[in-house]
Amino acid sequence: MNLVEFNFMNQNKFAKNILHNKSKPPTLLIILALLVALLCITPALYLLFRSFEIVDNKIMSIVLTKNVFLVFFRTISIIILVSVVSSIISIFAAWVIEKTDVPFKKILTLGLILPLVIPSFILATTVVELYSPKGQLQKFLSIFGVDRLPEIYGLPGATFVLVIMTYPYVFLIVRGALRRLDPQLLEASRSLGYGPVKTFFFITIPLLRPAIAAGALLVALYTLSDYGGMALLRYNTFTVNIMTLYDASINRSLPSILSLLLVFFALFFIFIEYFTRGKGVFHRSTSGAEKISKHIETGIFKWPLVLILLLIILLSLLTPIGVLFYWLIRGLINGNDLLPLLNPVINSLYVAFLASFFTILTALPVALLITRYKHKLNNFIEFSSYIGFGLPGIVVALSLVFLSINLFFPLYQSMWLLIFSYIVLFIPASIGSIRASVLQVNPRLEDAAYSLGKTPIKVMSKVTLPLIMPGIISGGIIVFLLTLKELPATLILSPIGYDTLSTTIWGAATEAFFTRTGGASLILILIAGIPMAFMTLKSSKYNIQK
Amino acid sequence: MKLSFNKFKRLSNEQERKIKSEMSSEDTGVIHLDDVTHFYQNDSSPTIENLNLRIKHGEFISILGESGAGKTTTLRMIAGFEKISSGYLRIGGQLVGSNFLHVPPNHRNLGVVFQDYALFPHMTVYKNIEFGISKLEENKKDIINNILSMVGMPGYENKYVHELSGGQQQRVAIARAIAINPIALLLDEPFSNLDRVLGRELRKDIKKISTNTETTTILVTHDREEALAISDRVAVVSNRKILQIDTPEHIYNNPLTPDVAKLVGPCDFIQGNYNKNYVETSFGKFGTKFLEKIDNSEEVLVLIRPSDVNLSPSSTNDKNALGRVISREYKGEYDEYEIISESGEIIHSRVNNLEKFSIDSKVFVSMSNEHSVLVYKK
Repeated sequence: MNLVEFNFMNQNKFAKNILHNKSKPPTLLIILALLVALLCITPALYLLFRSFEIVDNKIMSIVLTKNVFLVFFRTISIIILVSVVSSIISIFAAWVIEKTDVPFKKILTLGLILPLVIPSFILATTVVELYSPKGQLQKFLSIFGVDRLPEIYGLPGATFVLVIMTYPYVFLIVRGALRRLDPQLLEASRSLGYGPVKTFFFITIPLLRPAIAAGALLVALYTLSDYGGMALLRYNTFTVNIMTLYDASINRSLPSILSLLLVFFALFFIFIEYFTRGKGVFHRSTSGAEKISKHIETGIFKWPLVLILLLIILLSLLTPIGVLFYWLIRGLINGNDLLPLLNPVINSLYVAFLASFFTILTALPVALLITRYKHKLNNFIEFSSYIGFGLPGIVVALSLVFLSINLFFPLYQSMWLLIFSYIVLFIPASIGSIRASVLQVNPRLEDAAYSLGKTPIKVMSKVTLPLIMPGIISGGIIVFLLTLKELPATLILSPIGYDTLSTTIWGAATEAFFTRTGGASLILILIAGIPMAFMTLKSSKYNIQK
Repeated sequence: MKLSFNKFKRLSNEQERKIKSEMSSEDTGVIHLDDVTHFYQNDSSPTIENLNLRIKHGEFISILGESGAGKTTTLRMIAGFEKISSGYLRIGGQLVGSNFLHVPPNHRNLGVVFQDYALFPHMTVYKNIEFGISKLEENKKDIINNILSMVGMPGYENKYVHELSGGQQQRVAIARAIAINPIALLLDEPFSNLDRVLGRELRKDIKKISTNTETTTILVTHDREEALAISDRVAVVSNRKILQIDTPEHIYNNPLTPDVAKLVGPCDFIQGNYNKNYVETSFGKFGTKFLEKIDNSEEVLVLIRPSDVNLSPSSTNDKNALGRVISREYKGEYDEYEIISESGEIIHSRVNNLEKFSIDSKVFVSMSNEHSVLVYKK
């Protein structure tokens, strides 16, 4: 689930129409894309069918208890809270980075984006260590006579963790939109008598509305589907509730019914986002030469602004990593066992590599078909392959468990089922990435190759694929990162005894083995952080400002 | 179009009016650039160097130059989007820019019309125009309707920007700029994204609005026809400097330097020898005038405008026929010939008659206007 590319795709509707090939798509491409689409939609469909089977009055009376309404209320309130706080932080940060003259932009941007690689359950453990009533912060504040901090478990801690986890996504989306914003519009507002602050609220914010809505949707879906962070901070949302019921395995039907409710929940947010997009057309008014965006001179506010950004980075990136180091070193000094981490690392890398490979492989035909050709099945294929975007990991995992037990038992507890769930969950992100690069390839290049006598397969392998390679690689990296971080589906679907880094960390964290949590988390952050930092720095090349 | 600006002028603007006429007094000008220089950060060479420009109240002035000459930077400095590095910029007699002072654009009350219109896509036409008008204003609706009919767009209030064509968008952009009752209207290549016919129509309307409302207007353009057609004065900018400021006629007939001549019209330069109001060239002897002091029998650069070059036929062996036709292009209204001399110099001629000259035929070259040939010191 990565809306960054998803959003980019929406911005390119115009370009898409121009680049469409009028010819009929190759039959093989349609068949492949259709197969992928069917594969992706299977978990959702299966869940739906099963629910019809098992719905009876007794179940409904269980579902519609006071407890469920409480869970519903908890889920809604944290979603609203996290969306609002995340949006405010990221709009502020994106605006400062893109539109003002603060120094050290590259390193600040990196610091603001890197929290992406820290999974919520790692953040949650560090948050408890730092901010619980008798945590590290209290120890520090005791100098000033503070001998107890407010309770961190529940809503405050869960909100804190999810804000940290989700704001980088909104930041990326809003920053992209700010870059595409025509600087002339802001100058027009200035010339009409509006100062920088008024211009920000009357022009910038309204123009960013689609991006903010897309970001908030992403935040809502993440919050809805998060398991690790919520469970560790004892905030009982739908997802946590489903997992608890599934673990207790008293009744298999109840979790599926609740999963279905969760899906409707997700659809509800997708609809809200769709309807807030509005009527105005927000793309640049012309294709003319790129305008130079003037940076606002912040004067005496320059360093306070940098300090606020640094504070955000401190809270979201540096202190969690600091705590992990603290645990690791303290544990090693006390002679605690780190336990062999080699196996989980190898397992994680192996499964993440397989997931990236197969996700890219399945995403390719879909991306090529829906970007290059017009076909009556396009809408269905597009919808089906993007369905994982709205499906929480836990829903996909549960559906696949039931599916395999009832229909394809050999698949149950196999690695392939796990890979299957990753494909369903992460294919939207890789389609988005590939699609963005396909859109940049002029179809006339392919026509030229055909006119020089090449077969479709030659054209594909010699012209199209090399040109879209950057998109394929970045799509692969994104899937790799998401797989490393994924927890609920991995917990449910990974074969018995097959520990990945995230399940190892989860196990260690829930059983309070801090040394091991620290060590494994640091390795995970390192593995995920390096490609992420590389991608961030590379993409900032396109941001050359005069 | 008999709609005067005064009709929707706010009462409080009586004073403003007074200020405007005061500041139009010859010594200040509405907008006054005094030795202004501009550097971009990190750039060693300036984008604009020692610029002096004084614009009078109600004047329509064009800044003409090729891209990169610094004309847009000049406009952006006046609007307040760029800070000036040295010199003084005064608007309405008030200092608004220097190396120690920068009044931000929102306090300058200048109407800016952008190349790409820059209409707010999330607002209707009405809201766009309303945007800059003071909240305290009572007859907003009348004002906006008035302005809309003035720019020829009545009844478009509730349209969104993307529902309008390019020309309509530019009209709304002009309406938005004049709605704030600006001290001056700044136009940055406003016709360059429109097709020629539409651009010509719109520029006539802008000229009308500017004249009727007595609004001081500055137009930045690279199109000489545009600049010459509607301006009271033209400032020719090249290579970071203003080369000449004058009325269109004067600047076309008396360009101070060869560079100015090239910018305001098609021309050829050939070698010549000056001698008592005549100049000897490889195409013959022509009457001339000069703008700077030139000694007799001095080597000079001769400016020849193709529209002044007349051709007349000769027999093939006539030794006095010094030109030879090397190409002919039919342009509809006239024929354009390329003529080469014995010494290999080339001039162009635009001849508007029935006589056709074939390639390689010998021709006599004469000037339709005795004093159209200008000479410059080398």
